[in-house]
Amino acid sequence: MHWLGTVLRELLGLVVDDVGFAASIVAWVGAAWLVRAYGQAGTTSAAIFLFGGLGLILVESVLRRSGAPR
Amino acid sequence: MAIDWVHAWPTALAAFLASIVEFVEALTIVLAVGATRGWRNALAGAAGALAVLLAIVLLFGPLLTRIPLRDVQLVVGGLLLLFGMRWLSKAILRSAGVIALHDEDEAYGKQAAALGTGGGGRLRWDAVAVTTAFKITMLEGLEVVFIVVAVGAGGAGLLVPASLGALGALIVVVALGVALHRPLSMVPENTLKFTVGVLLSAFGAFWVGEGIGLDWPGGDWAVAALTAGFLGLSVLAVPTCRRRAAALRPLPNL
Repeated sequence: MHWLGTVLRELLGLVVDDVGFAASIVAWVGAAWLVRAYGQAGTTSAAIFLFGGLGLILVESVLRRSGAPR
Repeated sequence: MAIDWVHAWPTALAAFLASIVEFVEALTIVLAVGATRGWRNALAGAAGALAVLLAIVLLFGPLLTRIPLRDVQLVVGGLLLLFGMRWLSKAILRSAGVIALHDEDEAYGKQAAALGTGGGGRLRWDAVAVTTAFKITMLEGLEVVFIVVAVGAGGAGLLVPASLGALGALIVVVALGVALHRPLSMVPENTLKFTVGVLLSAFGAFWVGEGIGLDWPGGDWAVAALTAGFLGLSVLAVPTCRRRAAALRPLPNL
């Protein structure tokens, strides 16, 4: 079963290498769903909310990793 | 079913570009196996893995059509978003010089050195060589299957253009490998990864949005706007990351 573990690790590694980064993306998608489902925002505002948050998460992640000790 | 190429070509292009990166990485190791332990072993391992991957696509591709499109878009779009943004953030950091570029020549040399020139001779099967070629083709190929299924799951009839994009990438990489017999180090891998990261992030955000019930302004054209948005942010982030990394780098002792 060693190969199965390797395959599963590889598959997980495809989408997650920085847990905080991945969790932030999932949380933001959840927040966008809440805004869409329960908020008063129109569809364009909700789309801007989704993209804007994802953009901020991306920029925060690369800036944080640029400043991390190597 | 006829393919509407006006809507399908971005899907085929995204699958082509993403797959070409994975196939180049697999080819590097298969070439190292072939050159050091015999081509029959390398090709048998790679062909075996491709057969398993084809079976996976044939098994799981049709299953996706039985799940409601909105659910598929949310789950697969979410995975695509995670995958694309992970790829994009690494491409930004590589472009900024924060992390090292992938070097196919170095990967080839390391694998060739690890395999040595042993094995069972040209006419006998060499389990180590076959397994190595199988494993790398399988692992990189699984990424291609994931990409094809993910970018092809966004709408009805998109799986075929996504598969054609990946098949085109395989043909191009194999043709170059046969012609050159050496790693494709001239492929601008980080530029490709940067482009693919932008495209996959845009597709992922679009499908996640559709999955949570957003009506994107402009309909399908929103993908182009999202692509421009992710590209603009990423291009702006590169020099900022470079400056930040340089500012934090320790000064040399004088």
